[in-house]
Amino acid sequence: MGNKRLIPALSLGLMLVTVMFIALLVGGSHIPSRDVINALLNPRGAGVFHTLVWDVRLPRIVLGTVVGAALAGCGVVFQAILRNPLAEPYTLGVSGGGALGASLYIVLGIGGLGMVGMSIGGCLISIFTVYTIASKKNFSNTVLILAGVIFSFLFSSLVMLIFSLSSTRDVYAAVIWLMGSLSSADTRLVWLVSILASSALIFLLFFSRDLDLLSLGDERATYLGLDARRSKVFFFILASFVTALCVAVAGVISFVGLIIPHFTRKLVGPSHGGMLPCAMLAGSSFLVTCDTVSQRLLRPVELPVGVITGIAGGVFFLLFLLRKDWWGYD
Amino acid sequence: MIKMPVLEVDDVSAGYGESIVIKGMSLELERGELMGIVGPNGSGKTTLFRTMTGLIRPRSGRVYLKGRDIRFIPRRTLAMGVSAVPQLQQVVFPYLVADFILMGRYAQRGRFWAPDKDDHVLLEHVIDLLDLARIRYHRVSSISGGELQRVILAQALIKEPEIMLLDEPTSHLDIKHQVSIMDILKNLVDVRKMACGIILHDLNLAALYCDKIALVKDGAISRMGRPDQVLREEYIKDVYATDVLVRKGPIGSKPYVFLVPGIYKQD
Repeated sequence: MGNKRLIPALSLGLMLVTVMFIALLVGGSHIPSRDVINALLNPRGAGVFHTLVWDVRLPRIVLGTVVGAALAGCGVVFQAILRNPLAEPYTLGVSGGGALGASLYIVLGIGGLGMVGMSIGGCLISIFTVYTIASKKNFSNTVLILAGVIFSFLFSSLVMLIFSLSSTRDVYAAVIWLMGSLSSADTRLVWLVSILASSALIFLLFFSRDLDLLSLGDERATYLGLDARRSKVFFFILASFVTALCVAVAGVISFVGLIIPHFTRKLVGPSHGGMLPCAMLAGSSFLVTCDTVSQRLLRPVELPVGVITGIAGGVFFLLFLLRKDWWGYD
Repeated sequence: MIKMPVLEVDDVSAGYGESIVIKGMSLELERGELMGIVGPNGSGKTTLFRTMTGLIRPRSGRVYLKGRDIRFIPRRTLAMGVSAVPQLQQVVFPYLVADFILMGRYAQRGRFWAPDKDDHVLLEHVIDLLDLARIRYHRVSSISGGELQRVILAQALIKEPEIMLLDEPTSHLDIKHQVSIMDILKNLVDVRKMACGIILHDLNLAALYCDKIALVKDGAISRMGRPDQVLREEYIKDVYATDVLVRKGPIGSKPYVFLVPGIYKQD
């Protein structure tokens, strides 16, 4: 039992370390590998390469690792609590609110909170609204999903409204943000978000059994000894906040939160004790890889990482779905 | 010794939102008793079940577990003594049958727990009991409805409950497994003095196994008593609004209910 769980987790961990190291070596700009390693070995060194490695590449990789793990982990949580393999971190409207906040800031210049503050504010508003509506209906899955879908549409229509009234250049900047990027300018912000999100994720790992039970449905989970409603609210709030942090700092990176849970479920089975940590590790590797590709593919032009995750994820998922031995959801 | 009910439903009304489904129901379930709950579709059996399990709060009245108001018992404590099996519902995620059954130990073991030797001994026991050896390495999403029903029963039995409440546990089972599951429940009731309340559609299955039958009509208990006291032609006709014949069956002289198809109804 222990081994069955440990081997995939260790392999995925090893893969993540490798991917992070490669990402450090090859980044967006050209730095000779020797200089990268030198800079890494001398944390107190100086020079352009040193700054690039420590202040540009490393924070970006850390952010990719945390956001990848967070999106994949939250995807697992939402799929389990909504009992829906099509759910993802954005299903309940968090990203819609974030996008609206960010568009207000970028396009209309509204908001003293800054870009990050505005988008996190938008996220919080949508979390609060969906929560309020669902709480009146006993947090049934249908109501949660419907409320999420309604607010996603509502917010994205408002975003379109803002776009239609604005200049092309502002709209362009907002669209690029919407597609997601890990090139956050503020290193301190990266560290703050990373610490917050990763502590929340580690905390989440202790509740994998509750996710197992909730994924059987609220009624059955209750009979097995879980306060299903309270537990569902706990997961909803925690995963939504973590998603909000990701959206605020990296935009709406698509597909990670949907395909990584599927991939991991296939790899290690659906029991959350094994699956949740593996999904986080796989999500990190996937996002860091996609981010490296997005910087290298059309250099010096940098593509939004959301485009790469979308394309890579879509193709990968399709191949996966067409496999004969695909089990689960027929 | 004075018999004290382990589970007591006292003048309970309950429902969903605005609508009240059951009105002023009372019943008592004792140790070593197998009680059948029968009645037409929509008569409130499942609402009664959900009230007895503490899933929905009664609008008025109380449910007592060993004399304690069920509202004040924490979920996990409640789940330790009471196993409830709702109507069959597909499992979305492809858990392994063995992992799925072990989830039944959550109430006893809590969230920070890895299955140990004791759990595996219990697991082997229920796998044997419910004839699941063949599918133990299968996934719950790819087994048949009847197999799933037995797996879910295994999940409910692995915590060795004092009380079991089941909502149509035999609905998807072939006759072999219907009998085997009712035999298992009957045995637990007789030998381990478990208390068991079971919603059934099959009146004859209820007659064969139950010590007591509650006949439910329009959200109220219309008759309650031994099978031969409850399963009478006039009562069944009244509750189900359909013609039946009741005769003494050849097995254990229990009443046997015969359905009357329309083409034979001329006279």
